[in-house]
Amino acid sequence: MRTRWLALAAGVLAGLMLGAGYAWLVRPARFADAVPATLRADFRDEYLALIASAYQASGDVSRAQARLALFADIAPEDLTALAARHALVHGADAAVRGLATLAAIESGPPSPTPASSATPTARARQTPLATFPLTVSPFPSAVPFTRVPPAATAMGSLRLLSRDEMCDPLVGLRLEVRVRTRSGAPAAGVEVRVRWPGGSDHFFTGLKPSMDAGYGDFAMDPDTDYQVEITGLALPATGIRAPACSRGAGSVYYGGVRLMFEGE
Amino acid sequence: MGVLLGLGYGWRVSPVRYVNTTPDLLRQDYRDDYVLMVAEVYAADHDLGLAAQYLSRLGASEMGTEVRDTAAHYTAAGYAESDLRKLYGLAADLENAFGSARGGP
Repeated sequence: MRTRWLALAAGVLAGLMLGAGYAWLVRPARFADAVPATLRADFRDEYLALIASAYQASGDVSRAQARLALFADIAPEDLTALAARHALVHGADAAVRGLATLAAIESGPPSPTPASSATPTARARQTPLATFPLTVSPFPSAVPFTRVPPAATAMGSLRLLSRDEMCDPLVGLRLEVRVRTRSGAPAAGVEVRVRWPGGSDHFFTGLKPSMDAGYGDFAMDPDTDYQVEITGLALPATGIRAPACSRGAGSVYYGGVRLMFEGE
Repeated sequence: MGVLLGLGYGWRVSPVRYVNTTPDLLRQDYRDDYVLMVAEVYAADHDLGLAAQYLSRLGASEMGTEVRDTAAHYTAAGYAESDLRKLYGLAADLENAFGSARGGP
């Protein structure tokens, strides 16, 4: 009797293992309802870049934020890092500008702002995944989207507002660029080109949102003259050079330069 | 009986958990939004090659048809005309470039 029960139990166990093996390995549950957050890392990056490109194209910040909310674990720093990686491979395309701008928006304003300008920073992170996009859909009558054109395209021309030398050993040979719109708001996603004899490079504002949404920087070499241009928006600032700063007792070190551009 | 229990456990109780999925497995609403993003970008840059590259991730055999299907879903959902125009514009350009035209606005 005992043997029969044992045989039955062994049979059930073997069947269980066979069934589970079939269900897991041979014919797993068909999966066709993936959410963007489960995408493989490379597709996830591409998806985020597509969100940024679409934002750059449409200027619809609410929609971009709703899309970003699908990735619950994405922080502004992740967008910044992705912008840098994307720029290395694809250059300064719309996705890079969009990612920089979205990183700045997601990290919030650097300082308290009037209530009337706070709308675009409202987070959509609480949007339940399962209800997107229907509850966050752009039904024209239900959810009026806030249209906030990307700063770089909405700003018009810029002028160099100030140019200061910074003598701080901790800052070193840093070229800091801050860009503001005419209303004084930090402008993220603005391309800054730096040229020097025999070379050039570029960077974007907004990639270090912890500093300021309109901030970008560049490491200078000593004894080199630089020309800084906000691509297509401002006349180049020329003769930028790391200043020689005195620490006293004849000790000299190189400092940095801060440029402030503002919309006209 | 054991086999049935095993199948139930493997399919229902503890199914295979997917973490590294690909865009072709996206749920239909996300798939539609992906297509809309591509259409938004295309409306701005008119880079059909890039749009096709993005859409190829969805694994659709006919990209124009895929875009038209999304447009149909969004028409039914009452999306803004500007969105629909972008979708139909992309669908038409894809069909002109790659064939397989179909009826639609």
